[in-house]
Amino acid sequence: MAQVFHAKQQALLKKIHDGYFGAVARIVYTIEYQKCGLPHMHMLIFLEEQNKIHIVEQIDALISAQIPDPELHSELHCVVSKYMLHGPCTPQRCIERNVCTKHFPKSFHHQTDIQEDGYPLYAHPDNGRTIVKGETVFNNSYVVPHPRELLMQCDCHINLEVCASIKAVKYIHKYIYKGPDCATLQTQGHDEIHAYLDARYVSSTQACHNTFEFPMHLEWPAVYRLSVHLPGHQNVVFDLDRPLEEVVDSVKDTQLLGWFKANANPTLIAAGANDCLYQDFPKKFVWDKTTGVWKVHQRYKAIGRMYSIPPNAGEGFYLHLLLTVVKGM
Amino acid sequence: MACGGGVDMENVGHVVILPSSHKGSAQYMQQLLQDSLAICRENKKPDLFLTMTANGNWQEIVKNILPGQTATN
Repeated sequence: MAQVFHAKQQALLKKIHDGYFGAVARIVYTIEYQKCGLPHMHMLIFLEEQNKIHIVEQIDALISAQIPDPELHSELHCVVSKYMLHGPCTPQRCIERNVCTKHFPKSFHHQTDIQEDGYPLYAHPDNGRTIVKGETVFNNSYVVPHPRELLMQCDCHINLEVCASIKAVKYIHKYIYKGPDCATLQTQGHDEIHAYLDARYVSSTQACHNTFEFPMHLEWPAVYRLSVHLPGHQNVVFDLDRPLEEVVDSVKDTQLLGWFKANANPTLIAAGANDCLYQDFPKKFVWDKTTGVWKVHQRYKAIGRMYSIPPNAGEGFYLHLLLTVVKGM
Repeated sequence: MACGGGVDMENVGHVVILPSSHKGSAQYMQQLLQDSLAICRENKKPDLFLTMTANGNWQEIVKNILPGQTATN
């Protein structure tokens, strides 16, 4: 399962990198495992400026939210009816206070519109097309927005939506708020002593996913984390058995100390070191961990960010603030 | 903590915080969020939101499981 999902997901990623949605600037994705062991992926795609989505025609070209013509597109029709219909709504799945929490069925719209808050209303035309599954009849208002070709390629449920705000970023990080999956096992002894075991829940497929070292979360291109510290307050890792002098002699510069030196280095200044904020440094330069020196790097697209420092840290916080404004120290 | 209540303070243990390099720990997740916020600083808002789920009936899976097994075995 984990391997097949990984292969499908990599194929999908490749298609997106190759420009299925246009030139891609950045991709962030997170893979989550449900308790039953089936994985799913949430992906955010940032497009390059020239490919940003502004008009209705662009949305229509990428996303469809209606039942396709069963004769013209029979294959797509088959996949949509299998995976992209919402429902039937039941209290166990999606109904809260007599309303579907996912807002299905949607109201009919003849054409796609972009609303004032920036979110689009996808076209769900009332054209009489229906699909019957079991005892339920689905019309266009039950179709989940999907990308046509990707859906046929992957043969699974794929939901694609245009996002208008950065709230989606919060959504893919919901596990931060939820905490890791937990399972509480309760065993009851004869003397009514309850033993609780509060454990982290990892399903067998998720365990495989981790064993194969497939990523659970990926940012492309990478985000580079930069150290921030006051003079003489950097972390130093050393072996307890080594003599202190030797440890002191072997301490390398941190990225911050390296940055100060880079700003005094004529070769790096010529490459633009003085015109760059500390957090923008990884765009032009690359940190050489073994020697502890910044080096010029032309192709690198990484962005940097400093480790956060809380406001109550005093001087350290002010240093962090200064570094977001001052160039070429 | 009641020191006089027969609790040996030697045995109360200590708080262990997993480092951010440990996958799945709270600190690890925090750092990932910070990374994503850094991306938003750089690239403003995301354009597309895609969700892909697994399908237990994929041909590749159905072909390779033994009789009696399910996709999540």
